[in-house]
Amino acid sequence: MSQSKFVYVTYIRTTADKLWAALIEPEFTKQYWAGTHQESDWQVGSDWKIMIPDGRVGDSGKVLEFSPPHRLVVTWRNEFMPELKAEGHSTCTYELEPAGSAIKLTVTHEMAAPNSKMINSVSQGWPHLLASLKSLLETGESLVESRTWPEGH
Amino acid sequence: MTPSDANLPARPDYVAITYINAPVERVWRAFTIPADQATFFGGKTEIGEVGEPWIRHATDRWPAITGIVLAKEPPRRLALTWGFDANPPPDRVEFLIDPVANGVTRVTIREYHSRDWPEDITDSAVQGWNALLAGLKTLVETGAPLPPPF
Repeated sequence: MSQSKFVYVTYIRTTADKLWAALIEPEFTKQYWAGTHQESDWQVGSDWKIMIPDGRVGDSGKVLEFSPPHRLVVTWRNEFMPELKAEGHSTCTYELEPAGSAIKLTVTHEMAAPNSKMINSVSQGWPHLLASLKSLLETGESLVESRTWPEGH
Repeated sequence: MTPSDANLPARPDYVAITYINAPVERVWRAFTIPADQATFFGGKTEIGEVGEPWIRHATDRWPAITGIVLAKEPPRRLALTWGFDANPPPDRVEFLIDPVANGVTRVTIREYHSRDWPEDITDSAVQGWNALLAGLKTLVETGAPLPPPF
């Protein structure tokens, strides 16, 4: 295998506009993405970063594509775990498509190297985070343990 | 562990995971109530006891899916062989239902392939299992099914 790739597909009963907002707006991400928020002006080529609640930068990269409410592509490097940071930039693609009364969300996170620790790490995180996002949009409540940054990390 | 599934390989070929805001017992019940099953299996479903057949009946969109029940251990584990009618030999799939913190339940689908799968089949399985998990989660958390198409 020449690259590392993680794909997650889920279906959320919401609108594409609401899901798009929930993916990038701080008021939403803080509720399901471990208390973090993203900072960017979302122009293609601009910097993008995930801010940990204590002020550290969690991850950073550049906006490659921003086509609301259909497709968002960013480069993505971990900034707080040295062994992951050393791998450099991965690419993360969000795709939103109508599917009946739901929106199909596909998150593809890939690294151009085999056996990436970064991709292995996000493979653990994405299912939990996206499950919490789905709960938030469908029930109004995210999963409790996804609302705060884990202690000691 | 039952004799019939004692030889599942250590490493699954595919894993899909979701987290559901409900107790393990409620999630398991969804696997046993016909009206619930129909929503996330995508059609009328009958699951027998260990060693017996199970079937997801054909729908307008999809052929029947059939197999044998390898393990049924309420409320934590269900293992099945499965395949489309015309497509033997069957593959194996395992549903694991585990409690995590705060009343949240993790559902893990592990799939074990009987042969190497072409990439397009793998992609459709990724879509199918994740759709099943999404439908199960919506049903259990909101009480309302997440309707087709899937």
